[in-house]
Amino acid sequence: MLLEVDPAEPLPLYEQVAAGIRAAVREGSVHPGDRLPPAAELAEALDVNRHTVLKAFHLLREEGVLEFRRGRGVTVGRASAADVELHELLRQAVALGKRIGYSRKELARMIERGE
Amino acid sequence: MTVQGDGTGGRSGSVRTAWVGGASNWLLAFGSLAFTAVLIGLQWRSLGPASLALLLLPVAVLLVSRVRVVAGVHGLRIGLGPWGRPSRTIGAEQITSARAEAISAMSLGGWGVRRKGSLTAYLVRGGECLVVTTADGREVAVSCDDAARGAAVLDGGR
Repeated sequence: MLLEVDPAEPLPLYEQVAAGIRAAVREGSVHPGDRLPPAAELAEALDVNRHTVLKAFHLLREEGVLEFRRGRGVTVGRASAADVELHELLRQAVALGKRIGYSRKELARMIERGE
Repeated sequence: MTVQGDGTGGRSGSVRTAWVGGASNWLLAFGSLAFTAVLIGLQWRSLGPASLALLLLPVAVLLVSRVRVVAGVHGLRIGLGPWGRPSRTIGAEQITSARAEAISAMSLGGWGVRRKGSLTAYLVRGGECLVVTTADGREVAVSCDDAARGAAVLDGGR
């Protein structure tokens, strides 16, 4: 798993870390069930604050990409590759919607109406 | 003669790169757990201090059944076993070069923590390894799938 952060980029550091982990899951360089290193180890490798990595972990747990399991730490979630793809598509849809004038609410309504 | 690493591996301009890799030997892991199960089965009735000491053996085998590698601006951290501890860190300023190399377990006399001359190797299986050369001229090798990627991160500043 290759992770890159660039403080010069506008995207917040924790989002960059999360994006890197999502990409690794999507590419298959980490597999469901794989244990990630502790946040402290990723933080020292990327020279970022440990809390930045923890924030990325929590975001990815909300998305279902990562799981926190007692005794096993932070692992790649079981349904991950598909979840990652779905979240990626949603992100793109929201971005496109924003560009052409659809709010998130309108997008949600469109999804509910089955369009 | 010692060469000082410039400690810039993993960093390029403002970009920081980290790589997480490693390797595992499921046969060692499974064998270790199977051995433990047999041990507990045989010793169940008479679980005394001697029996508990025997459990150290499968734990030791578990520790060398997998290895995790984290390469980045800090250098290289090598974590043994399913819990990533114990671990060893080679600081970036100590690393003068890094490469991928195939090392056979046979050539080092087996799996585990092996020493041969100025080389220390953490082998969980024969094959692809990430090898770093340190400022004192010694080398450290660790079993690592896709080791070239890790080497590229560590060597990036040169």
